Amino acid sequence: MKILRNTSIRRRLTLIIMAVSFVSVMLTSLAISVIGVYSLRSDIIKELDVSASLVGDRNSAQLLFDSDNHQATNNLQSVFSVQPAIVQACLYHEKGDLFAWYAGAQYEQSCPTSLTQRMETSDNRVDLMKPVIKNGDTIGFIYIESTFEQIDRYIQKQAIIATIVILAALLVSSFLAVKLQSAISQPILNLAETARQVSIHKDYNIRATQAGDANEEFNNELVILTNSFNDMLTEIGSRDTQLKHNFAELEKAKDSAEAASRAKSQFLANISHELRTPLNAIIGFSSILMHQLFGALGDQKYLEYAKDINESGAHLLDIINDILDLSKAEAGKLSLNYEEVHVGKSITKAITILSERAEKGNVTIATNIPKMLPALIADRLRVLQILLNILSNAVKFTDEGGQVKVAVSTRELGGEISHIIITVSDTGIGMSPEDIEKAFQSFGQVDSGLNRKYEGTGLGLPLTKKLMELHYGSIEIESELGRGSSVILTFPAVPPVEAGYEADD
Amino acid sequence: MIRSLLQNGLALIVVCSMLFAPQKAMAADQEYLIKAAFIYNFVKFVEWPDGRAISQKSSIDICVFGESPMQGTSAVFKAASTAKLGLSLVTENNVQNISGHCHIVFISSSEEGRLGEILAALKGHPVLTVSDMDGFADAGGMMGFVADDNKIRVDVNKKAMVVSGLHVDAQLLEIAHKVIDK
Repeated sequence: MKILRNTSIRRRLTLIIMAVSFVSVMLTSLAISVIGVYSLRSDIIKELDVSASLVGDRNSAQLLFDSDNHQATNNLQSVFSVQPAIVQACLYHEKGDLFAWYAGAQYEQSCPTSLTQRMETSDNRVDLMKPVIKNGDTIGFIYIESTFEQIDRYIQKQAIIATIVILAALLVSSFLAVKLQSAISQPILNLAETARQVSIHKDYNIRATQAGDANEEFNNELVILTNSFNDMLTEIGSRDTQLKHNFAELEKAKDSAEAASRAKSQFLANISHELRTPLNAIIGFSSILMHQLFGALGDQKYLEYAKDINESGAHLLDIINDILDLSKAEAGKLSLNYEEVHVGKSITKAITILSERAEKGNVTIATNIPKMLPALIADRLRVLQILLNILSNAVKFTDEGGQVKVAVSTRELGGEISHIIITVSDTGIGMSPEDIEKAFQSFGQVDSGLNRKYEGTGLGLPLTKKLMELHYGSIEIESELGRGSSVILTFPAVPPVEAGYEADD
Repeated sequence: MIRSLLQNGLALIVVCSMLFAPQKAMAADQEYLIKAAFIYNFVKFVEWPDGRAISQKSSIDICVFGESPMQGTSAVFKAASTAKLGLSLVTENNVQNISGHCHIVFISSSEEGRLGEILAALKGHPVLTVSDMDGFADAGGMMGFVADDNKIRVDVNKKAMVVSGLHVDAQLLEIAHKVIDK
């Protein structure tokens, strides 16, 4: 069976058909030979019995009347000398004395002395003793011994015939097999070839040709196979078309979505720029009013209003700046200006900026900054922006008398400082896990009620996250409701890709 | 076993030679016993025509014509009789009666002078004529015993048998001392 594994279906079928015919012809020949041998054997025995009766009868006159055995001997000789299988033949008088005999050419006369009537066969010999009867009288006995050499000759002859028949059968069956196997192999080969063509050309319009009569539909498995294969190709083809169509649709949708997003960012950048110009006028002139640069305002109320206008304008500017930054970041247009940043100094600066607000809320800010701290490669202004965002949040959400802590630590990798970690913790209201998730979304301030206690744009954390990502850093918030929050900022000491010193627009 | 022995002519010779030994010289006895056996065995090789054919329950009359030691062998034939075949040795002195009931007639040498008359009387009748007189077959008899080198043999006149409607087995002709066919 091993031979069959790597051969083509044509060869396999041909070999199988030939093997089957070989085996059947072989078995048939064998069966015929075996039957032949057995019937020949029984024929030989029967013939020998008949021959004994005939020869006995033929020599009855000699047995009865002849005083010498010349004639009987001649008779035996003439009958048996043409039968090479006969070993010996013996003719006895009724009383048992040997009268005449015949011995085959290569045998010695050894006529038995016992006259018991018998018929005995062994593998290669048969011998029989029977009385010679004339008109009901036993007038003598005849003994014949014969070989089965006819059987040997028969087997030899049969072997030659069988060989010829087997060779002829193989010849004819190989011829027929080559002709007939195509009925099975051709459709399969067609299928295989079609499958190959389809896989090479990726063309699902190719179809396997149906061998034979198309009217035979569903009559045999190969027709069904071919039809199913073709149906499958049709199905694959239509799915492929559908897939391509869907893909094109998606591509279109994606393009338009991206275009919309770009347009939005562009719009925001433009509108922010346009908004800043009048705001500068509002902030500038309200500041002049507030500081009464051109003389005292008549009523104290005007001073208060001027102050309100100035503060609101400043707040609006913050919002617009945040929106601008965020949309720039989202549009991928925010680039960093890398330089050496002293983290301690940046923290001190941020605290100084926020100190007025902290004092107002009676919140103390404590720091824990190691003396020996390597410089951080980052954008100085953005780092300050990040610190201000986080710290102002901490101050904002810390109740009166609370405390904000800023700690800096480092993480080492292979003996070198790999990361600088700034942790800002407060004793404020804290956040739930859902709140934390929400806080990182744009305009996702946790308390979104109208009368909210804490003002803010809701853009601080999303923007901070974006800026941290631009620095290849990360931001994490650990918090529990009512128990304060810790914001952990992790900066790589040196960013993996130093973007150079591009100017920030 | 006894029957099968009795059925055989040669076995009879042994039995009978004991019976007749005291009366006759041994050699002569022996000779006639053998001749009796021969006659008995002739029956196996001769076919009588329809009407006289030997078949089931046939009774075969073996007649002795004239003075002959053969008459002393009567018991031989009686003993050889079987359920199938009744054999009897009959002395017949009337030529005219022979053809009436005899299948076989043994013509004694004593009748040599009347041979022509006897054979003429039997001509055309299916009676097997046997004799041990010299030149019996040549003279128109059917089976003639002859002595050949101290052995008893038979001359067969086939023509005489055919004329009488008797058929002789070719095997018998094979062992014949002489076959007369014309």
